[in-house]
Amino acid sequence: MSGNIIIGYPNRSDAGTMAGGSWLAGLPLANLQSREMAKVARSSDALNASTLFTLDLATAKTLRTFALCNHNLSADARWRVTLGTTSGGSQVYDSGWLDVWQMTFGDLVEWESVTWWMGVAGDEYLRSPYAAMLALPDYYTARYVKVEIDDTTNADGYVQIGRFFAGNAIQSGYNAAYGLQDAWEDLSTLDRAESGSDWAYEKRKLRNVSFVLEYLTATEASYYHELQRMVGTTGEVLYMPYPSEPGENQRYGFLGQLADLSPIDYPFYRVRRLPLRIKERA
Amino acid sequence: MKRLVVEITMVVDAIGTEQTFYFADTAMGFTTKPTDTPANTYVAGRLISAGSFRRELFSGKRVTGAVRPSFGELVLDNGDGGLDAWTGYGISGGQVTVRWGEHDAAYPAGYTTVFVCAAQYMVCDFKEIKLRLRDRLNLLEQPLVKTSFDGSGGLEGTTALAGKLKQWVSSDPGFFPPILVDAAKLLYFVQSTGTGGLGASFDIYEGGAVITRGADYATAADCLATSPAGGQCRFWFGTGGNGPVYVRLGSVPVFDLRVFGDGYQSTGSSWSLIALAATGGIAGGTGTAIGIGAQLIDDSRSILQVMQDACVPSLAWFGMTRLDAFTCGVLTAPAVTASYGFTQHNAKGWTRTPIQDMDAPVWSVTVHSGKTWPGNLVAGVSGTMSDYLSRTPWWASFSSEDATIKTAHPGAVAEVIETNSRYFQNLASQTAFTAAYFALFGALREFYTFTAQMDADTLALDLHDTVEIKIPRFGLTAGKNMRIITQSIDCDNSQITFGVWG
Repeated sequence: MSGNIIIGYPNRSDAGTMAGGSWLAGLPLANLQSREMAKVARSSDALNASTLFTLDLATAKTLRTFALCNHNLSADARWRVTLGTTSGGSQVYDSGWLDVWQMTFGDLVEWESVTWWMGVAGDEYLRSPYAAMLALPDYYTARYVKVEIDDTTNADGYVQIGRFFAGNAIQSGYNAAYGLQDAWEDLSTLDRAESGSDWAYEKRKLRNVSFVLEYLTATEASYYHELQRMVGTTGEVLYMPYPSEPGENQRYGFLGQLADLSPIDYPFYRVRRLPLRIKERA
Repeated sequence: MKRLVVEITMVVDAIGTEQTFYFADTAMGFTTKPTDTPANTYVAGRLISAGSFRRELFSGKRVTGAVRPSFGELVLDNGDGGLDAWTGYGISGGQVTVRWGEHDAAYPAGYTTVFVCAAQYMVCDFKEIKLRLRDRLNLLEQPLVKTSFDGSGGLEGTTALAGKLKQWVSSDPGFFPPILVDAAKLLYFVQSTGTGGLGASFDIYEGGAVITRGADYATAADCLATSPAGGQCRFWFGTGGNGPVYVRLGSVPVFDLRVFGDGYQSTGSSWSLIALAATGGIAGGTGTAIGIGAQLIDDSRSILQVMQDACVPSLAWFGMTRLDAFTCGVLTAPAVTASYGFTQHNAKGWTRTPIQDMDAPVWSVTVHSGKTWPGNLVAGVSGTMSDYLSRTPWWASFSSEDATIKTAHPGAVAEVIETNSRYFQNLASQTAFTAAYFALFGALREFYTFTAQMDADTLALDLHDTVEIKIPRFGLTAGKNMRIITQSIDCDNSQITFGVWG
């Protein structure tokens, strides 16, 4: 699979019908189709039979990108995505069981380091900004999607997910030019007493990225042009920067929004150019 | 990482069904845990601003009285129209609670309540809903006396009396006129309040001469049926002496009638700020027992006005705490022990300013106290009664000056204080008041404002608490204890601005 950046869009999940598993009546699967990320669907327990769901798209759609956002999945959690021609079927595609947590850490910060866990452990989105993400090796067409979660040892006794993304995607033949910038926006503020002692008001940190696709074909440019129309600055895109490196993909990828609708340049003969800025959804 | 959570409880239908809505600040929405209250509930991140909460101990010119609230607005994001149904809800009077806590703390047990208040009204546009907030003291902005004679006869008087308010008496306001209920029966209404077991102290005077009391009536029916002997009067104090109080005369009076009575709660206790607040719908008040004093209310004065008046002679204050509880106390100089200390290391924006209308010490105070009802006098009445029934317009007027204050502060001012309460009935009470007044307001007082970080310690501070101010300026290097008299909680910036006096 090409390692070039994938932009997942549109999220077809919202228009589908979800079912299956066992979810709290007050926090149902329908919450996965709500734009409000903090509005989670919560399973009634952590049994595998409870922590699954199916999505019926009504008609067969092209799919390539998937994500579980704002989840409480534990370090040992696994998930599996299947695409079928029947509800729950896997005739089209089967991802097999995948580790939810793909990120790995080198000598600087070990996986089990307290420092590492401070950032991502827990059962709330605020402490766990990294989504479970999956980019399929190719484009597949299916009506039915099934997601299974294996997290029976979750300390909460349940799993919860704030948003499910199941979308088409665009991946250009040439990757972004060197100069891509991954950044955090810290919503926190700092004030000071008369003597200079600081008062910190900690808020969330949100990711953003800016990069330039220097060499787009006319066809690719037309897809990006359509992406901008469909998504605008309010719709969501799934930014998957390293499709062939799941760990890095999870670390730097996110569900976001276009910060602006940049003009698609025409710098050279048969070459289109598009700068993109994407900011993480909150 | 902390977040604010707002609970808004309001009536959502015509039959009074209440519903509580929960919101967190923007980008901080969450779903409660199974162990939270409420459990498994989505708390939308719609809170753009939790507003501010400001209270001032001084609501008038060197008069304490009601704590003056001044709330900001609570702003909710409604760009998606998700709250449009609110326009049909009964928001006015809805309870608003603002909590603050770590994002992973148990809700609400692990959160600190920043303030509790009431919604007044809301303003909506296509993007936002703005809730105007205030405290519940407005519940006291209703007439204290709402009961009137219905004119149905008997104790309710003739049709000519219908609609006249039944006068309310606290303690002993002096010699006041009774209300003629039935001219044929020579039946008079004295007061709606009970006697506190002091029925024996009641007397009715004609032209300053006391009318001989016959035996008290045992029942209302007896009162209506049996006339006193000629030249005498008989009282009906209500069941158990709990009022209302009536009196009948045995002979037609020629001169003005005046009653000396006492008014108490049905429990026998004196009327107090806490008790009056309860009659207005704010129950469960705490604080210093501050009496309403000797007052008669026979007009449309509000409960709040009566309480304000009662605070004057006591140098008292009352209001709602930030947690929506009624409290009251007496303004005193800063205590020896401070609840908390502020320095340049934990506060900013230090400013020394005078309080409005309190920019100079007071060197002279004149007090007028106690409404009077002067009347004509029968020949031969005692000099004392002649004095009592001739005083007008006040029962007592007195003044005091302290020239040393004027010497030290040439710009010192003279103040005049008026109260309807017949509080100052002797020289000792007058002297005690002027001494306390000069102690508080005769000295050059300092007033500082500064802003501190909102945390558990600063949130715990309340009006009238004593804090130590210790900064390397304004001669405060060694520290000075001062009273908190203003408090402004800025939820959005997690800061509290205090005003201290001392």
